[in-house]
Amino acid sequence: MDMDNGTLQIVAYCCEHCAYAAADLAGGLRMQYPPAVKIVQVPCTGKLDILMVLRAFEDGVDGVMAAG
Amino acid sequence: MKVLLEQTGLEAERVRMFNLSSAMAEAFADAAKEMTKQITELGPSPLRTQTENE
Amino acid sequence: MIVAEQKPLDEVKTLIDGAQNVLVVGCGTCVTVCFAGGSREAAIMATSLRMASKLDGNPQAVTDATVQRQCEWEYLDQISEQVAEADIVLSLGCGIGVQALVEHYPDAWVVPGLNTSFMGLPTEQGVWAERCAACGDCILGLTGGICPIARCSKSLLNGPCGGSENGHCEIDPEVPCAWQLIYDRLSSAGKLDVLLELQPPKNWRTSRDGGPRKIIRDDLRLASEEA
Repeated sequence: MDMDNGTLQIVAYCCEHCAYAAADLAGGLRMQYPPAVKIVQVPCTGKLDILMVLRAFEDGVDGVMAAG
Repeated sequence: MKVLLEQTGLEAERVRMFNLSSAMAEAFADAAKEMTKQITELGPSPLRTQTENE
Repeated sequence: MIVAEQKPLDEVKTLIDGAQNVLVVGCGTCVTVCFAGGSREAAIMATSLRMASKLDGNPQAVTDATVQRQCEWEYLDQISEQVAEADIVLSLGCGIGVQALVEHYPDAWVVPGLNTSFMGLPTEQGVWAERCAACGDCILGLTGGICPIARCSKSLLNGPCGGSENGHCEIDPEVPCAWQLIYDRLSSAGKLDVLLELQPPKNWRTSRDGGPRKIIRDDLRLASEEA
């Protein structure tokens, strides 16, 4: 992961049909949201495993969102 | 999940769940802003500092 | 099945203190189904320990490996290289698994990551209850299939004590009185007269009271091992 000094990294696990679509729509409507949030698509938040969250923190992200 | 994070030494507030549906674009942007604000207050992950120091 | 629980992370950290390389070994049978020491739990434990040790300022290399069964030496062969590379092996197997690792890898230092509790079954998702005390001389045929040794707080063999209140044990209102359960079951099966049969005093030598136990099956032993 790109670790710029001072730039926060937040991973948002977004489910394909709900949150990812919402994020997509937000992009299409040119809504502003902080660049710290990095979107990762999952088929459903049910797929989200504790390990996915833990490993994200182990790699140095500052926050994890589960959106669905 | 939050309990495990605390035991490991990270703040439980670093992980959060948000409920959205596909039409809630503004809610997504708001959630992103809120999370960023919260994480900014918590500061960078203490694990990250360790990585950068290596 | 054998039911166990993970030790608190702080206790585990103390047990692996000082090691540079730790191998977490999971087991694919009993502890997998009680969600204490399977491959997922081993991976989560290893990741948590890496993160925690890093935050403590003393990063440890923690890897994980899971074998199908930790209680039989043959299954442990496959992790021999990883065991050799580790300073400390953290076993997420039951107490038997920990000891099997020690016996199979005498040069390794093995510590337990679980507290092994009892033999029991899941009564509902997420709840396991004790059922068998491994007494070595099963009397379930006389009690309608309900074990008074494991399920009665006092392991009484002659019926309920005075502390049986409304079908529950006096020590805890959540614990059913085993003898109430036995009575009800035999009653609905129409076999209450079983309780009237006189039985000789139980020979407890077959139980843990008689010392560490061993079972030898000559019919299964290999020819070269016969005395």
